[in-house]
Amino acid sequence: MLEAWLTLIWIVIKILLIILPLMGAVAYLTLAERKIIGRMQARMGPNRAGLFGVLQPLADGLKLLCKEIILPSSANRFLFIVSPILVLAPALAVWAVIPFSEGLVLANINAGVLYLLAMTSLGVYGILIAGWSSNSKYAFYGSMRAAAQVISYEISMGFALAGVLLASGSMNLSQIVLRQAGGVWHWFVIPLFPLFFVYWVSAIAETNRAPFDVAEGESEIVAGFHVEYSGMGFAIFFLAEYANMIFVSTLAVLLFFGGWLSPFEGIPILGKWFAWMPGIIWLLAKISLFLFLYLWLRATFPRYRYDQIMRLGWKILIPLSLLWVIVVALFVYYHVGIWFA
Amino acid sequence: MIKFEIDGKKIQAKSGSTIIEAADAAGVDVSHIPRFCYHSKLSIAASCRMCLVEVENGRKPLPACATTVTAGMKIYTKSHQAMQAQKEVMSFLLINHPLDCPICDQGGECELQDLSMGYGRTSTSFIEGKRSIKDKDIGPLIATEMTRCIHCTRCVRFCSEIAGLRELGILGRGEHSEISTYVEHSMQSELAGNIIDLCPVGALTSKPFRFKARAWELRARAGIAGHDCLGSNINIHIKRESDSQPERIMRVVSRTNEKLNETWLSDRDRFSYTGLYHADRLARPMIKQIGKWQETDWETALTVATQKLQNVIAQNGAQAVGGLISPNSTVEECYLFQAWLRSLGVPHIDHRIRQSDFDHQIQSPLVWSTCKCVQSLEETTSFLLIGSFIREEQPLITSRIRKATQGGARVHVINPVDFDFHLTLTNRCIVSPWGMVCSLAAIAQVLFGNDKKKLNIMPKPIAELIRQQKPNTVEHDIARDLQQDKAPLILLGALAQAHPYFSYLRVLSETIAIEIGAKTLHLTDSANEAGAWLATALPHRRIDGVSIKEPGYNAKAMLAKTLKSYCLFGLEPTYDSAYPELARTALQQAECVIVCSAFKNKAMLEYADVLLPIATHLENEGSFVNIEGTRQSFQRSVNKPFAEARCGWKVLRVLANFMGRPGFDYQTVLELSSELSRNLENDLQSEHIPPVDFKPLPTVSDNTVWRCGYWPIYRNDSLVRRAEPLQVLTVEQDLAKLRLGAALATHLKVNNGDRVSVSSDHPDAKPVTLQVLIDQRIADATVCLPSGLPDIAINGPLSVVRITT
Amino acid sequence: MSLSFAKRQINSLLLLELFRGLSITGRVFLTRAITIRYPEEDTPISPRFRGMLALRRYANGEERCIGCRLCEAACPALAITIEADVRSDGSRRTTIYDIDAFKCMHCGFCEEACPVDAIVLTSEMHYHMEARGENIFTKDKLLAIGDLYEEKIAQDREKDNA
Repeated sequence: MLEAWLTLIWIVIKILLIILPLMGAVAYLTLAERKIIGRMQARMGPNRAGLFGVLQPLADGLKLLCKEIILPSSANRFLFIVSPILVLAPALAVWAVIPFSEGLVLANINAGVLYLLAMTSLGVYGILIAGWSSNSKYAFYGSMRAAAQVISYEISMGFALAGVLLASGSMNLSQIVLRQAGGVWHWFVIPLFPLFFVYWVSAIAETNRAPFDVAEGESEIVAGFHVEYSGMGFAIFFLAEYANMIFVSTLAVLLFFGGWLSPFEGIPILGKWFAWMPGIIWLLAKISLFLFLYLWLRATFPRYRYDQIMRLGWKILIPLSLLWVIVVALFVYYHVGIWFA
Repeated sequence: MIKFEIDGKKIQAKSGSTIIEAADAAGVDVSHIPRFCYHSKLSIAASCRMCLVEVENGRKPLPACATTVTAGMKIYTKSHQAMQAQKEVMSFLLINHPLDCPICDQGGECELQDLSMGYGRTSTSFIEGKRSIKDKDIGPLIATEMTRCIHCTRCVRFCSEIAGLRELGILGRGEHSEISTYVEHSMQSELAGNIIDLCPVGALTSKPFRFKARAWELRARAGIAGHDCLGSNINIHIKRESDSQPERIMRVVSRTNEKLNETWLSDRDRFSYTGLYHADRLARPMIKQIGKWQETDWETALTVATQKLQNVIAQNGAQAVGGLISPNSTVEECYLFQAWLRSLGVPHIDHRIRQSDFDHQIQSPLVWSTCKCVQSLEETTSFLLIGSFIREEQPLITSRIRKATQGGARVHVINPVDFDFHLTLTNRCIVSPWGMVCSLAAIAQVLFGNDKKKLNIMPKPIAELIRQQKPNTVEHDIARDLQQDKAPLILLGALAQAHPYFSYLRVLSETIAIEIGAKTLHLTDSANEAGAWLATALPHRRIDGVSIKEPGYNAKAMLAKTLKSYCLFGLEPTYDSAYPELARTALQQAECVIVCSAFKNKAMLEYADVLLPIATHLENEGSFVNIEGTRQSFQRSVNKPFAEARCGWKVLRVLANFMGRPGFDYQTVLELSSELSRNLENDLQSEHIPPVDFKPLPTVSDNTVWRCGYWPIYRNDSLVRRAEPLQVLTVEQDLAKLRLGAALATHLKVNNGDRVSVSSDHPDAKPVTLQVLIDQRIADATVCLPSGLPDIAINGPLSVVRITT
Repeated sequence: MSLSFAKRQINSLLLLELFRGLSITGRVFLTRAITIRYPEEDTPISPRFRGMLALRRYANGEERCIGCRLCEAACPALAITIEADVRSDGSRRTTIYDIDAFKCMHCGFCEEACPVDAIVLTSEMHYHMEARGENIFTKDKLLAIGDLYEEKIAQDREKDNA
């Protein structure tokens, strides 16, 4: 009995160990976003709260905590309150199967990738419900757009993942990473580059980020699905969005960039020099790189039009990923190169 | 007609016309020649040289204003030589002209400014000091800034040619020349204000308007002047409403109408606007409650007025109500006034507040005069002027007569005072008021005294009077001149109208006119006397022109009979009436006095019960009929009359509505006008007119003293009386003195400066104590004491007075 | 035509334009920010800067304004209200000179129209009102501002002339 309790407590501790740093990362990702985009626009970004504005996320958080939570009078109260949780829960749940280093994973299950696909698809329910329960036309438009977009890009994303699964022959994320061991040239990004491209574009679209942020579309529909939310309700949507950003970056690293593996592995001198480095550092470094890319894209590209998003998803990304899945299958069948030996 | 060319365009002109006249007649499309000293109404000076033009085969540029056109002439107004000449002239003119356009009132409407845009240089080669001249004080109306003068001499020429008074002249020569009155004094001419319009620069500007607004801020609205019977056309300049000030009438300038006022305007019409915002102006309706005045809204005031008037009618009948309307009111107001009172059953309605003798009223035609004779005044060669200080009463008609005399016309005058008209008079009969009637009768005797047939068909007292006369040489001369002239004109002025034997004067003058083939013209001193007759604001005629069998009281009787209630419209009877004493007592004893007036005064606050503010003629809408029968309509110049004041016709309409009278549903003044016009189509031809019952001849003893109580030019109506700059002039004239001739002074044993008491010839009359001033211009047995002055109320402007030393 | 078509297709396929865009933001990212930290630092302003309005005086203390109303006429925002009259010494002066600071758009037409250099725009941009009605700059207020900024105006003009 006691042992069961201890296991449970241990699991909770492990969850907290993942979630608390994640929350911190989300907070500082917002600051990084504002600073980096600011710099890209030759501005400074926040620099008043604390040195270089380091206290800005705390100030924002505090502010959101203190704000009144407004319930629109004609909203569906239950769904209105539940939907932020429905968005946040899957965004957190996905971290269960993410390996941070060899063996450093909460639940090392064999169907990891399937689980991820399931969880990421669930998030859209929260958005739909949020938009519908708000009983506001802007929110409803936003959620419709979000749903259409997520569903469209899920297909191409699925194919991209299928390509990786074909290449690695496993659904266990740790296994997938380990299949890429042996140096930079073993990483799946090289043979599966088109799939990586499809994955990354789909990932941005899935997370409703610029340039695919029509679901928010400030200039058209105010703030999209969360227009009626204030205070902590709004904060939770925000949290989920940024958690998702980190998650899809992590997944990109795991699937295509060798996860926690050192990029210098197998290089004569450098490999030895960096051999002491724990895998998790490499992982975080690579994730940071992808998050930077996220922000860079946002600072550079204007928003797609809704129909353009749909055309890109259905007419380009899906055919491209389909084609490359076949190519990968052929690679595997004929044991092409060092990756499929 | 002569054919010639201007700037290559073939045009025609009358032979003898100058180039500038021909060019102006051809229109600006052909050419516009710049000018400063030239003015179409003045003689040619050719002093500014701005109008230099090139004439083919001419040795040098010629002044267009002084060169007559000849057949085949080729004139170039825009050629290099012409332009060069004009530009050089301009730079000479600008040598001494100060660069003070920003503080100059002429800025924005300045001929020099305009032309310097086209012909001026941007820099000057003149580096020496500019000349400056001390400003002259020429009275309260005209501000001077003589440094700006360019010596065009338009003002000098105007004074001597049009105003008839050489008040301005040019002193010194060359650099030292300046326009001046020589001995500094206020300008006396009643047309002086025109030099403001004439001055092409800012040397002469309007003093009351000084620095108040700029030309570009003002909106001009056409109006009709309302202080004499000419109906001069004016432009009313209005400044729009701003945060600091409501919409205001800022000044009045003349509007050209060749048939009436040409381009001129009398000072009375030009500056009367300064009285508009006087402290006496009624801003809101007022009612008297338990002896205390309080301002109120229209609703309450009209309700109170209705109740009071209806009470009087209920208790004493409509016979106890009298209505007096100012002859300065519009035709529409007169019409509504009589329609309203007649609908209540009130028979006593009149506008002839300055008349003393109403015996002739039944025979008077409804239409006073239909001869369009104002413009033909200049061609008339013989005038007989009876009882008029015409220069003050009708300044612009006088200027027309003056022009006629400059062409040789003869003017004969029968007046109680030898007024100065600034024109050459051929014969003067300066006689007492009764003497005026006698003189006219004497003239009649010379003309047809031997013809028994003619005398027999005349009314008895008049025939008797003619028989009695022994004409003197002057009367002989007058009669002979009138007889010899082709189309003489007999003018009856305001003094004749106020005469206690007006009916005699009228019958005599008409008989003479028929005898010699002359026209007669009544020069009333109000703007709309003719219109008031047409609109039948009269006790003896209905609007359809039919005589009333038992006419109501006339203006004099109304005041003498002390009615229970009076309705006054646009009047201050204590100033305007010929019977100020009677008016005061009658109004004070009345139970209810309803006053529609633009202004209040002390006496009014004592006798009135309800004061309803109305618009002055500058803010009003409607029409005036001038003395030659021209009806001139005008629209409201301002969006809203002063404060809560309303146009008079609206007040009358609503009064009628409040009293439950049907048929008063006019929405616009136009509806009213057209209804009035329809009524006027009826005339009185079919009617039988009973003979006039003339009053007997007076008994005149050696001790009888008559008064000449003319209304001075700036005491004529309530607006003028409040125009401060004009009142300054009135004060300067020192009117409140008893003027009499030396003979009468000896007879009464008084000297200059003695104080004597004067009262009307009535046992109860209150005497007024005044200083004596011996004045040779006054006729025998006559004293001159103007009417309309404050604190001097004597009944009868031309009646017999008692003088006690 | 076919060449440019091919070129466009290749550009599109290789996402060259996207990369060009990224390179721009990337380059800017590495440069210095141009931000000026406002309350501590001021943006440099031209000596011709058109800020708060002022009425100037002559050195002897006489107000320059002669009430010619040219500024009122020039003002496109109808912000200026003037009433002029004869002063006791006979000169033309304003009795009311109001500028509604809410209507004023600092175009400087009034300064340009003024023949005596009375109405000027100072280089002062830091001014505010604390109560209703203070947006109306009366003649007294404008003259007081003029007195306060006379030196600054002179300095700005010198700088501008240099």
